Parts: sequence; structure tokens; C-alpha cells
Amino acid sequence: MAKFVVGKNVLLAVLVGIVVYLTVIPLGMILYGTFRDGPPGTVASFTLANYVRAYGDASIFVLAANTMLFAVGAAAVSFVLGGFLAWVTERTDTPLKGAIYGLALFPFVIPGILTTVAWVLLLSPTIGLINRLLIDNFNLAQAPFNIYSMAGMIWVFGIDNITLPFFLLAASLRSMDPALEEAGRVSGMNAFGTFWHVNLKLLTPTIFAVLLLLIVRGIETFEVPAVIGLPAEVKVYASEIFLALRMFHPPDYNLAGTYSIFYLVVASAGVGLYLRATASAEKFATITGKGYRPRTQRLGRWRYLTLPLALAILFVGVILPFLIIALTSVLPIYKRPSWEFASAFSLDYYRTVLRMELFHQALVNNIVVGVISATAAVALGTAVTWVGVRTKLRGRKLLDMVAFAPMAFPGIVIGLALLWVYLTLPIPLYGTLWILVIAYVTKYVPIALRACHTALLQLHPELEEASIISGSSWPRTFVRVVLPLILPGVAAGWFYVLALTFKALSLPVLLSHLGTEVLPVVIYGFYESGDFSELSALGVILIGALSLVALGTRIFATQFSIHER
Amino acid sequence: MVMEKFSAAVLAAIGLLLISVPVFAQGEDGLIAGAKKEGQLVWYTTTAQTDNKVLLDAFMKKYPFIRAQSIRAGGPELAEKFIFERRAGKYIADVIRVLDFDVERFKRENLVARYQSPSAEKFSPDMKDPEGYWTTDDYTIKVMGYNTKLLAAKDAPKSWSDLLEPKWQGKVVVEVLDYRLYAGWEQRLGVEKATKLAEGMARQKLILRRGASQIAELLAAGESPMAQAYVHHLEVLKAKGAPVDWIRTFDPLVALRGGLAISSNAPHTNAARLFVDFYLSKEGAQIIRTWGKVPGHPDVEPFHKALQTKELKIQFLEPKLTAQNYSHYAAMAKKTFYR
Repeated sequence: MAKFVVGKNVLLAVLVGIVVYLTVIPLGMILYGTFRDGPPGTVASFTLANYVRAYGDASIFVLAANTMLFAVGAAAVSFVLGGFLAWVTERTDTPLKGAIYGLALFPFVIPGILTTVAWVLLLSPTIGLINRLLIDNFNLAQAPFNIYSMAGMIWVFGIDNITLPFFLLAASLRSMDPALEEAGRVSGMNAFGTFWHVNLKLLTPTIFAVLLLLIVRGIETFEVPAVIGLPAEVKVYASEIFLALRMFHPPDYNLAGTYSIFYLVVASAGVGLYLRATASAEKFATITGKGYRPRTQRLGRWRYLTLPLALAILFVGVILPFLIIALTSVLPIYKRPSWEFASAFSLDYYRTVLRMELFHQALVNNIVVGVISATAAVALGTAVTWVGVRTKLRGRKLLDMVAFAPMAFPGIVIGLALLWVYLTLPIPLYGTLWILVIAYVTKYVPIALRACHTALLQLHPELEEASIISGSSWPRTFVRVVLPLILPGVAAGWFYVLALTFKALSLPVLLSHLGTEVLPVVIYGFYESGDFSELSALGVILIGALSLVALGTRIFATQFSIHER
Repeated sequence: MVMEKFSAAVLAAIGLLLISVPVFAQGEDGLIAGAKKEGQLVWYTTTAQTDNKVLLDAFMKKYPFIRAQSIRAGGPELAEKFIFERRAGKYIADVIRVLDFDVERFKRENLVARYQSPSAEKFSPDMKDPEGYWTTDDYTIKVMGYNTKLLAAKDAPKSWSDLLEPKWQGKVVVEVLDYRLYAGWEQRLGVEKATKLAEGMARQKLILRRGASQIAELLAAGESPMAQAYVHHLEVLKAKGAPVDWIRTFDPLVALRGGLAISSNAPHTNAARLFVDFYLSKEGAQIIRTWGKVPGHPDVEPFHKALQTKELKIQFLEPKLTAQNYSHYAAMAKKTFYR
């Protein structure tokens, strides 16, 4: 028995060591750079000028306020919509769950540039289709919706990110023990009271984790601020980083890194608060030794409200932009839907993409890199989570914060740090797929970490203890008891990281090499050369492919986890 | 005495000829022999991925013993990648194609080698680095495009100063922080006139956007009546049936030149030279013209007829001057093309 404990500790130590290595090196470089006046590899001296320039101006407060307003607003939109859909699919007997589940995945697998431009084509005050339809049919004087506003930015980013709360909340809801809800009912609470006092309290870690992830992504995103924020004249942090890179020649990456420190402070503060709120883990355990029968709520007539509502959300939020993208993928140029459409219809753009050797190579690379990265991220996330939740080691909160930190930095900043590290370290990783794995794992362990953390919190330790006391070895306990029970959350994290490797743009652009290109490189290539039809075709192809994987993941998680049959 | 001097001169001339003949005779044969041993070529470029494959395939057809590959990225990322690799002592790229301005930055750090390709002998001086480090494969022009459904050709402004009229407020899209546009104004019109123009433009409620190709796409969709876009994007859209056109009479029309250069200490120098020679040859230019921009080669006309005329008032940015005055141009761009 003892040797298994030692084995487990060694494994944990190794995994934690890997996380620290992956995180501390690039972060250390970035931090170091903020105090230098020249890029790495050149003769540079110590300076505080970057900090003065970044934070010495009073306008920084307006910028921070705008950024938080955008990030929090979008997080609220994603959370409410994604959370509602999660509840509908996991805890009610609403019909057509498969369709809801499938559609909720779409915004996540489509490249962000496509959805953002699709929304411009829907809600622009001059050419937006929705606006035109409303104006023409209701004789309005002017367009009711103007996407070029803070509200527009919040909507586009919010609706584009419903998949994260959907996944994580669905996973947590799936593991909810209805005995606790029954206890609530028995004490006299109605359905709403039960929801408020029992479910929400139990879901606090997940809710908190989801909001934290959404807010940090909102602070860090650059597509919506670039495409919508610029013409709207709404400035957020991402805009300042962009300025830092354009105003100077050569671009000032040290200054960009200095701006990112704001993100780091917010992210770390968020994690600190989250860890404090979830410190007494037993409070949140819903999977206990007392018998566990997840059960759906019978809604009766309310189904006639939840189904249309869910479908309406998905239609407006997901199907509409998808239709625009599908439209663009079969036309040489974007045209408003009309009868002329039929004559210009062409599948050429799909052919171009499917025939591209680079596309095939990038797809294979992406799948390989994605699967390895997602698995590694989840393994590392579980290790850090284990240390955080199941041990009393000192510094485990700091470990969590450090592991979470890379999430806060924009891809280009981390990408450059990693580029320099692996160009100069005497390890022959540069130019191989492994450097991409390292980059993705570094950047996305934070997401896997939060997913694994909330999953493990729901599991009461008494189940593992019972297994070990009955004579089972630790590895067997982990595989047969722990893993199946935390699988929904872990699988959500796994799939999310995998899908991100298909989406994230700046990271792979710098680190890809001959033969190691991944899909985002192809996507960005089409975008920069103005091949929007091909880009849209690629987006549609991706939706098809990744939806299949997602459904497969759901089936796998359903089959192998425990639930009422 | 005169005869002696004369014969000395003749002997010297013959001597020089004998020394230089090997250099010229080396020409392609010498390169081919060297390239056969090297067997590979790595090309870093900003050219579109589907386009650059066509060029590489044609090159490999001509020289089947060379395995040619490209890495494609946007200008800023590609430049950083190249520079970081070199600073770390990694020599991967043989040939690099970015904008002339970025090659100047490489020159300052000794990252590129002098090579004056025989293919470019007839190129106009505008299409080459006077110091011999880069040559222009193609260039594009920043023009004022307009949507023909929203604006009739006769109503469109004819010059930069026309654009300062109040009726154009809020009607023109420009690229955010477009320091190149301002640099073009200043290098053409001089500091005073350029500053006045910039101040006037800053009051015109310009619509700011990022991403040149996206600006063109949205112009075609009718998002705004006018937009400052790249002419090759507009011509490609026009060919696909989009209701766009551009104004020919603006002075200046700022042009962006490509810069093709060979890396210093390139791992495959002979293959690199063969590639550059091919790229800049008439055969290469015939491929380049299908990409929609204006080829640097004087004997190959651009694909789109509208780009063929010489009366356009094109202003090429002088790279050294641009590098020197960068902060000034950027500061003015921030005042004019940013809010």
C-alpha cells in the first residue's frame, strides 16, 4: 500500500513540476521583458519606462473601466444563456436535447473572425440584414440595432462564448444529487426556492469558475475590439496592446507585455477569490457515498416554454450567424440573399479548401497536436487540482494561481516568449509539433484546471477512502472510482482545449514551421489574402468535423460515467 | 609614351575582363551545380498560401532537384520570426519576401545579403534597392475605393483636398493608425501641406477599421460609401462582380512595394539565387501577375487592365526616410487615424 502512496506522490510531483516549468519560464521572460528597453537577444538595459507609459496616465482608469464593463457584460450574457441551455439539457425532460446540445457547440468551433464579421453583416446600421428586415417590414425610420456600440460588442462576444458555461455547468448539473433537492422540497421549499437555496449554492464553484474564465477571456480577446470596437470608438485593453505594437518600429513587445500585467492581476485576484470561496470542499460535494441517482426534473407544461425559448436563443444567437457564413461559403462575394444568389452559387470554395495539400496537412497536425495537448492539459490540470483539493500542502493556492496565470496573457505575447525560449534552449523542439503542444498546454492548462477543479469538488473523498480501505490500490481507485465520477467535467475541459487548438490564432502563427502548420495558420492565411469565401467554407467544414467529435465525447462521457439508465 | 599608356590600358582591360568573365560565366550553370548539392530551399513569405504554391511548383518543375518549401505568415509575425531565429543563431530561411520597409530593418541588423539578380537588370530603379539588398517582386497601391451602388463616379471626390469637404464626413473608412498613408502625403507634399491635410482629415469623422482585406470586403457589401483600400483587393472583388471601383486622380497614391531578399548566411545560397532569379524573371512575373498586384518586371503588364496606365500619381515610400521618421509618422497617424 505504502508504495502506491509513494508512487502517487512522485507522479503528482512530476506533473506539478511540469506545470511549473511550462508556466514559469515564459511568464518569467515576459515579466523580465517589462523591465527592459529592448527585445530579447539585443543589448538592453533596465528601465521602468514601460510601466510609466502603460500605467502612468489617468486615461488608464477609463480603459480599465471599459474593459471590465465589456468583459463582465459579455460574461453575464454567456453565463445566463449558456447556463439556461445547460439546465434545459441536463436537468429537465425538455425534448430535442440532442439538437440543443449540438447547436450550442457551433459558436465555439467557428473561427472568431467569421462570427464577428457575420454579426456585422446582421446588425450593421447600414447593411445589417436584421435591421433591413425590420425596417422594411415595420416601416421604421432608422435601424433599431447598431452593432457599433458597447452593447453590440457585449452581445457578439457574449453569444459567441455560450459554449464554455454550457459545457461546464452541464457537467456539474449532471453530477448533482437530487437527494439534496428532495431534502429541500421536503422541508417545504417550492421549485424556485430549492433552486436558489440548494442548487445554486452547490453550483457556486462552477459558477465562479465559469465567470472567472469568461471574464479573463473577455479582457484578453482582440477580435471583437478590433472589428467592432474600433469603428465604435470603444477602447479596451486589447486596443492599447495593438497600439503598442503599431506605434513603434520595431513593435514594442515589452510594452505589450507590460499592459498584460493588468490582466494578470485581475486573473490572479479572481483565482484567489475563487479558491477562498471554495476552500471548504466538502460543502460542495454532491457525489457522496450515500447513493447517487442524477435525475431530471419533470417539467410538464413548462416544456412548452423551455423548448421554444431554448430554440429561440439558439436560432438568434447561433443559427443566424451560421447562415451568413454558409451563404458566404457558396458565393464569390457576400450578397444579400436574393434570387440572383442562385446563379452565383458555387461549391468551388469547398473544392479549393478540400484540395489544398496544406489544409490536409494542417488538419492532421491539428488533430494530433490538439488531442495530445488536450490530454496533457487535463492530466496536468487534474494533478494541480488534486494537490489543491485533496492535500493540505502549503503553497497549493499559489500553485493554482501560477498555473492559471498564462490564461491572462494575449497569445502574441506568450507566443513570442515561447518562441525565444525554445530558440535558445538547447532542446531541439523548435520547428516540431512538440513546441505547439507545449504552447497550447501552457496557455490552456488554466481552463482544464478550472474544469477539473469544479469536477473534483463535487466528489466527496469518502468514495475513494472506501475503495482504498476495501483493499484496492490507488491507481485502481483512481481509474475505477474517481475518473468515471469526474469524467463529465474533465471531458468538458478536454473537449474545450481541443477546440481551442483549432481556433487560437496568434499562438500557432509564430510557432508553426515547415510541415507543422495547424488549421488557424490556414484560416489566417485566407483572411489576410481576402479569400473570404474559402474562409467561410473552411468554417463550415470545421463545424461539421468538430460537432462529430463533440457528440462522440458526449456519448463517451455518458456511457462511461454513472447515471440513471 | 602615349602608345605605352594605351597598351597598358588595353592590357588592364583584358586582365579585368579575364577576371570578371568567370563571374558572369558562373551564372546559372554555377548556381545549378551548387544548388544540386544543396537540394533544398526555404522561402519565408507574406504571399497568399494558394498563390505561393503555384510559384514554388513552377520553380520545382524547372529545377526538380530542389525541394522548395514556404512558410507563410503576416508581415509583422514573419519579420519577428525571422529576426528571433537569426538572433538565436538559427539559419532556416533562405529567401524572405516582406515589404521593402521590413527588409530595411533586416539590413540594419545584417540579416540579408546583397544580391543583384540578373533577372532584374531591366527593372526600373524604383523597383530595386539602390544598395542591392532587395528587389520588388510586385507592388500594390492604396486607393480610395467606393461602392458604385452608393456613390456615382461623377459625384466621387477627385483629390485629397476634395475629401475635406463637409459632405464626406462620416463616409470614409480608413485603416486605423495608417502611418504609411501619412508618410506618403509627407514624402510627396512636404511637411507643411501634409500636416494641413492631416488636420483636415482628422475632422472628417473617419471610420476606423483594421484589416485591409476586410475593409475591401465590407466596402463591397455596402457598409460605407468609400474606403481606403488596396487596389488589388478591389480589382479582384470587381472581377467577381462586386459593385466597387476606385478613384484614379488622387495625388499621391501611396504604393507598397514588396521586398525580396536573400538571407545572409543562408543555408542554401545557390538555390536561393536560382529562386530569386526565377521569381524575378519574366516567367515568374507571369505567375505574379495572376495574383492581382502590379509586377515589378517592366515587360509584364498587370492582370487587371485598370492598373496598366502610367498616369497614376504613385508615391513609393522611401524606406530609409520612413525608418528615420517612423515615430513622427506614427504620431501624426495617431492624431489623424485614431480616436
